[in-house]
Amino acid sequence: MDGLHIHGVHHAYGDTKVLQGISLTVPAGELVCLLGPSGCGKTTLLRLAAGLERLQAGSIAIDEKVVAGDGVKVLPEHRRVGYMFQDYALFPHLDVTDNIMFGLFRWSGEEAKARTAEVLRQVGLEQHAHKFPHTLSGGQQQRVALARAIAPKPRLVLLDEPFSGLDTNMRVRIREQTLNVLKEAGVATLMVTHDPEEAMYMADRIKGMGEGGNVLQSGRPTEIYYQPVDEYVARLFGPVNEIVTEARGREVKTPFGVVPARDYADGDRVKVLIRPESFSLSNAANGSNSRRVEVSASHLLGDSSLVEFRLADQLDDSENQLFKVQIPGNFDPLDHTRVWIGLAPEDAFVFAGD
Amino acid sequence: MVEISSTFELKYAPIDDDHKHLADIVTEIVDALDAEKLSDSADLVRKFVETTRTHFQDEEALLASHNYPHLDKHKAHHATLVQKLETLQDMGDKVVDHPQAADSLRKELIYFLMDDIINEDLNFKNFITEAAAKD
Amino acid sequence: MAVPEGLKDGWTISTAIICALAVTPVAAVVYLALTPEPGDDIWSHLVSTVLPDYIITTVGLMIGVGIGTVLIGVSAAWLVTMCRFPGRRIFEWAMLLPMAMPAYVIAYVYTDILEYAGPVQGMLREMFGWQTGRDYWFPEIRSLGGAISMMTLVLYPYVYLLSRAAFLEQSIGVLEASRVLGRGPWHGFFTVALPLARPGIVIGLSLVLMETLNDFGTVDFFAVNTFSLGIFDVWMNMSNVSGAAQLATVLLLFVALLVLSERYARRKQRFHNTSSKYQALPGLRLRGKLGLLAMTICALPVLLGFVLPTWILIEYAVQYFDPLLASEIAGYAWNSIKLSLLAGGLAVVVAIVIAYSVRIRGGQVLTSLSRLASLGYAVPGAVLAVGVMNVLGPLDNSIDAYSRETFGISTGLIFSGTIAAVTFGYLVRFLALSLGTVEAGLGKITPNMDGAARSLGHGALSTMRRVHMPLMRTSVLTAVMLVFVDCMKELPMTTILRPFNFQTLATFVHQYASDEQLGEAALAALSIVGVGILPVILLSYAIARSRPGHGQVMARPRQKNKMSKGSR
Ligand SMILES: [Fe+2]
Ligand SMILES: [Fe+2]
Repeated sequence: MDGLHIHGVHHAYGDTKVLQGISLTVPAGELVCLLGPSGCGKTTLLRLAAGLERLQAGSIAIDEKVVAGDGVKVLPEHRRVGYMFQDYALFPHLDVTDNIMFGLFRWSGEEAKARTAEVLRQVGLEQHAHKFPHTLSGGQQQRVALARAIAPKPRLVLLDEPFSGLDTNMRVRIREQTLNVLKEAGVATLMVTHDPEEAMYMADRIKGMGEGGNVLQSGRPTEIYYQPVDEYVARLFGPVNEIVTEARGREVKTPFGVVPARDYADGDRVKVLIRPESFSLSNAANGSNSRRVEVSASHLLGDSSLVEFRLADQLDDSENQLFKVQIPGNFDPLDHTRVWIGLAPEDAFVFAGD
Repeated sequence: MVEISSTFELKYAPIDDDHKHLADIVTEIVDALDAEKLSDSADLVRKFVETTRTHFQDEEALLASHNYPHLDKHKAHHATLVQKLETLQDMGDKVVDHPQAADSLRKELIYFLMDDIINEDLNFKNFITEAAAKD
Repeated sequence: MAVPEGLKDGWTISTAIICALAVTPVAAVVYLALTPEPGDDIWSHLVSTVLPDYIITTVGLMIGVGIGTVLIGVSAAWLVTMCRFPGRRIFEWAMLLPMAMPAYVIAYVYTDILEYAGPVQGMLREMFGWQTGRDYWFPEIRSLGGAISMMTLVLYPYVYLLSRAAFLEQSIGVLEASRVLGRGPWHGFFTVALPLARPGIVIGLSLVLMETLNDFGTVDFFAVNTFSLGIFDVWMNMSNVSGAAQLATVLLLFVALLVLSERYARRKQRFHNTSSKYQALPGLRLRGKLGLLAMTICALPVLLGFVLPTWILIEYAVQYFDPLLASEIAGYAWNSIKLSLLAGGLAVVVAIVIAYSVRIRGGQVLTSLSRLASLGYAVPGAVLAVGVMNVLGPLDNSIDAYSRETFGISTGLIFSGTIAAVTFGYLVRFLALSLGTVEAGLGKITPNMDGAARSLGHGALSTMRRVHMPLMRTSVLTAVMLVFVDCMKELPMTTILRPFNFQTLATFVHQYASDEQLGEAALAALSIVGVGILPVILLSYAIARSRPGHGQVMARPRQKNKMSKGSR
């Protein structure tokens, strides 16, 4: 199968293990994203795939040919890998065209020129062909880096936090364009990021990574978002509401209804995690699981609002926890005298408590 | 056409053959999806799910017979994949009425086969080839 | 990263050898001081006779020059960064001009015009009808005070440069906050700006004081008994090497203090500089008398430290021009150039080896070694001269002995008293200059650029040629130039270590000016000043580029290459 095939990669700097048994497969034309916190060895994996770091254990194959491992070590310049670095690493002494042509030195002059024009058009930088990197905006630099990486028609593209240097507005635009360019190129792409939104937007498959540099879960974006295998993966996608309680009769009682907990015995401490966006808000009781709440604050985030609330009619003060719900649009507490919160039981995740 | 290329081979025929058989079914599904024979594909997915289950059992039995030290871990992995099989079956059934889901089914099958099943099996590649050499 | 892996250990070994070589002269001095020849041990004699004088004079000189340079440097820096007054744009770079002037040159010039027989006193006598020196009082230029004035005039630019940078890098918000809180601008200067700039000022001051300790020409000419002069005296006139080494070791203690305070200040500076953006400074507009005062404060040091002495030198050079002398001077200039180019070239090669080995191998050990190798910049020339002589002398002797024993041939002195000795001394002293410049240049080539070049299909050598060489070119040339200029000006080591009858511009100027023949030396002195202008131009250029609102603040994520020569 064409694409990237990594198996059993371990890596350590001194005593610090940054990668532990990473295996992954990126078919040609697909985009796989490693999602994890900063410093979990994601960049090291990219450097290993590119040959910029010496492989310590495991094997890496590109288009069915082993490039590292089993006594093989293909030099980075012979791997045909396009690498987009987090800091872009554009050559400051070369203009945009020459930066892109840098990888086309084996091509004939005519072909190289045509290819450069083609990728410049793909990233929409025809107007800036002869500008120097330091005169470009962050978004333009990012696109030059992308164009430079894909120009030599690599077999594999590696993206290291490709949008982290961009401001929020530009990020959305550039993200879309980058995905289009990569899909058009039909190349296998491995991307690392700590931004869940980026990962879900770009990836065909997400691999959630833990602090120890191991893959905790792989799956389609919807799968890993809606069915996280553990608390850590659930939290990779942002802050969650947490209820600590006990399982009883293969179920957990929460203020928002009963949640199934098949794997837990009676009396087991469990943690119920609920994403702020999983709650629904309404002005009337809506089914038996609906609870009346008192809104204590609302923050408009732009296209959505983050509403903080406590349960109404809660006798025991100590259990009167503050919850957060994120709902589309603006929510003005003054417009809502009585508010009910609902939750679909499958949107609550139950994991073992501490 | 989905193929098990050499970097995915364990170089141990009984398992490689099983994996190739699974790959053949995936190829059939992909062909059915491409030919828009969606109900055929749903049946094929069912076949794939069943074959995979059997493969897992056979593989576990084989590893147990050789006293594979990390058998429990691999069994646990199979267990999570069995859960995923349900999702795959759902997707296969849904495709009949929602042809636009064909693409994600195709992708998911390939990832499931190559990344989830075989790439993880490579963990015992050395063990099983050595064990086989001793016999 | 761009280097074949087999070479990796070669890099480390070379760096270790270079560092060992760079440290030997200082080690030799300390060793000599601690193990004096029985008959040569005059330590107790020194302590009871000249040492107190050396200490008092040296400390006095340091205090005087320190106060003088800080007063001039800080006030000029404050005025050009925070205020608006006529000529500010010019003073921004013109304040640096006296850097081109070696202290000894300015000392000869001022002695010439201010001494009893000079034009100034002559004019005064004529105007007031005085007959002899007993009729009036006039400050004696050849004195401690004179030496302080001369050195202050040419060394203040160090303080100016660093405090200017410190003022510029201060978040203007802090100063504005102080204004908003109802404080006047002057209050802001003393309570906010000055304390924040202190690390920068301390670094500048440390550099000034290192140069002060290094000076030989001025104190020799003025007969001001500092350590440098004392070392020469004990060594040359009393032919007592151990005594000279002992004095040198005491001097090294002074130097160590300076190095420590500089390092400490640098750490603090890093801590302070939170924002790297230059913001357009609001500028306090100075009009009328205040503007005139600001102009005067800035103009005086430039006039006295550069314009006037240069003008006088030009006058003399024209007046005393003699084709024969000129061709003789051309010969000395050629000597200077050869020597300085050799040292500059070697210093850069060595710096490249060190910088690349730190980059490729990394690690604490190599980093510390590179620091150690560049400590020579703080060691006064007189000390290094003693060290170099006493490393190369024994080396020559043992080579000679070995050769006579094995081959029956006497090799004589291979290193001592040859160009090799002078070059070695220059290298040790100026390696820090080239290393700093090369390291800064290399720092602009991020490891990811190597990675990018490699991924784009270029091998190690091609990466070297197409990424490193073009990007390093400017830094390498700058490094050669900086070392070259300092070697051209260098006096104490050249005087002692040069081959017999080998004259350079600096030694020629010193010899003639000491014999009160400044007229004949003017052309040579002027050449030294001319060469010294080069780095001033470079610095002025950097200042112009870094001026707020000059396209410096561009969106450039995580890539701070202020000196990148990318633009055409
Ligand atoms: Fe298997
Ligand atoms: Fe398996």
